[in-house]
Amino acid sequence: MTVDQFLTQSRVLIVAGKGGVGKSTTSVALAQLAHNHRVSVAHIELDGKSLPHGLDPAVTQFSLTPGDALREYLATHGLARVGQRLESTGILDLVASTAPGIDDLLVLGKIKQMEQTPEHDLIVVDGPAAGQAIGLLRAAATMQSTVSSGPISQQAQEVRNMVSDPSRCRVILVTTPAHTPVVELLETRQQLIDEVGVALGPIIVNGVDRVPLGSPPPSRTDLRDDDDAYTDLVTAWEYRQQRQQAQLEAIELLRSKTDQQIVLVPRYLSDTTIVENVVRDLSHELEATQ
Amino acid sequence: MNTNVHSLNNELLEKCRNAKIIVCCGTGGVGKTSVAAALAMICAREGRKAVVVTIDPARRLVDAIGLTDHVGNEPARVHLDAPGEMWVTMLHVRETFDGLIREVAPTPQRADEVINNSFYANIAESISGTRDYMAAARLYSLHYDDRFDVVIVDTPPTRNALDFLDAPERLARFLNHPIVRFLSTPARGGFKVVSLALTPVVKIIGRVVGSDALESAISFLRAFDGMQDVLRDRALEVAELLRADHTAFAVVAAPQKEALDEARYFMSELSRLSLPLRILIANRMPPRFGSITADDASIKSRDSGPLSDAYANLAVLTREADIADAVIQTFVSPYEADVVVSHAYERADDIHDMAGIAQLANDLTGSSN
Repeated sequence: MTVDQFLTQSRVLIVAGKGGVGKSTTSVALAQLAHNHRVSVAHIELDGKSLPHGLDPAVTQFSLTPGDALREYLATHGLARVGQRLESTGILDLVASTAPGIDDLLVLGKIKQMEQTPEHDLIVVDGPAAGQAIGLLRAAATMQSTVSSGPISQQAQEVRNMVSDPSRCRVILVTTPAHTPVVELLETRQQLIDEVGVALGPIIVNGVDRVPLGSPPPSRTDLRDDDDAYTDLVTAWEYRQQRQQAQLEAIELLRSKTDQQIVLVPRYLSDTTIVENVVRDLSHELEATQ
Repeated sequence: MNTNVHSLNNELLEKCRNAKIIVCCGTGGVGKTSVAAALAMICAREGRKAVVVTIDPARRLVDAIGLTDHVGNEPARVHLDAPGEMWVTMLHVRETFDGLIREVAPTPQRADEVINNSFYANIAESISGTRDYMAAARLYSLHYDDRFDVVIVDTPPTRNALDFLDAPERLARFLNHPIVRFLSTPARGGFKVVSLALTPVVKIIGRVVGSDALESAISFLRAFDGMQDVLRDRALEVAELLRADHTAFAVVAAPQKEALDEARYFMSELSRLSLPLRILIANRMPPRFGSITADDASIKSRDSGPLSDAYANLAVLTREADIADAVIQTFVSPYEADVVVSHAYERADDIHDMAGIAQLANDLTGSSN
């Protein structure tokens, strides 16, 4: 797949993964990659948290919280003033509790609305943690089972149409190369396919240590003067080897259980240039792997 | 990794001997679940009867402890060579909710009426807030369970964990809301669902969510009548419990920017909610090998012949440790005076068995491996 193909196969890319796997970095890097390829892109963050640096200021970027989405919904349905009153008296919370999933649905509704306007060719969403991503994407179906008529039901149907259409929406799963995160990703992946019916893009694996260790392992006969260092050299060598081995096994597990393209991104220590590096790696890996 | 041994962390041991509730918070991917299990193990080593509850829907704790079956809502005992006991349990939202309803319902019939309501089934399983209420309810019942004298709670990723802390008060606020009280008392004025639906506020809510959802919600609230006072009192008791002297919040962090940003956010939220931060754990610290500096190892890698690669590797790993130490030191220093700080090291592989948890417990208490 070429980078251009990747960037144009869906209008919405929802980036999901458990905390600490570099989900935000990946979503920002994807938006920046699109921008570099002259794709008109918007980046949406759903958590209200700070993002890694490195996204070109020319790229549309904003945070979208359930509260924002609900206010906007009420405003566009002629209920702006009522909405204000509902909020100031705390009844807005009640609305959200009466119709579970309404906040998730409205967030997706807003994304769908952007998807249907020609302003942006691609919308990259820094999604919630993997487990909640399922709740978010399932919200439309849940709402339809409780609300069978009215504007919300219609909204739910439109969101479902978007979520189940691979040319409109895909989920990009992100993980680190360790056993537990990979197992969790595989569970999430299965649920997304079976319960949500959403298409998946490539799986991105962050923090891969592939630097060759060199061989053979340190040997005592090679040591010249300082005896102390020998134990350290051996322990360090063994530690690194075990780490690489564990990563390799996790990646193999992932490969054996999925048919998605798997994109490996190296381990970076510095935070300052990480997005720049990841953009370069993603670009290279997307072209190279199948 | 014998160079990583540091002195015994008496402050942490003291906390583990005295706390009745320890809540582990932090973003995902920092090893919070394993840390929670390790803290339970430390408590058990100190002779206490500890139960660790995970409210994360992923089965990480189960994986980490190597118990593949039998861990459900009912606590299961982990076999441990220690003077105390270690138990584990997971939060099953629906089971806990049903149990709570049965506990507070005036009659079994009324409990069934609520449990069989379609709206109830919906909120019990699909809204994220329910899980938070139930986590709080579970914490409460374990705290008063005679089998245990300390409850260690593992929380979901940061922002949700805040919902969990806020849940008791939110539930109390919700149940106290005039509209909720109005909707849930059928006796008052003999309103029928239909006429009620014509009141202005209810009409507006109905316009947004649809009238059938509203009707189901109203009949749920009516079946629920009388139980909300008990639940509200319970919610407030949990809120009090979270602020008690014997409750310790432990923030778990790892030396990556994303994880530390979230940990900082979390700590500011704890202080906003007047919740007591007492333990700070820097987990997944890259280990150090010997006392050689990264620069010296790097220099040696250029002229050490057959050992060049080994020195180059030592330089890489030492640099990782340097960066992590610096980042964590900056993070921890403002809190060092008031909070117990503890470190644990990154393993080459995931923690996936009790031996791994035991090693983590050793790291945290500063015992030699």
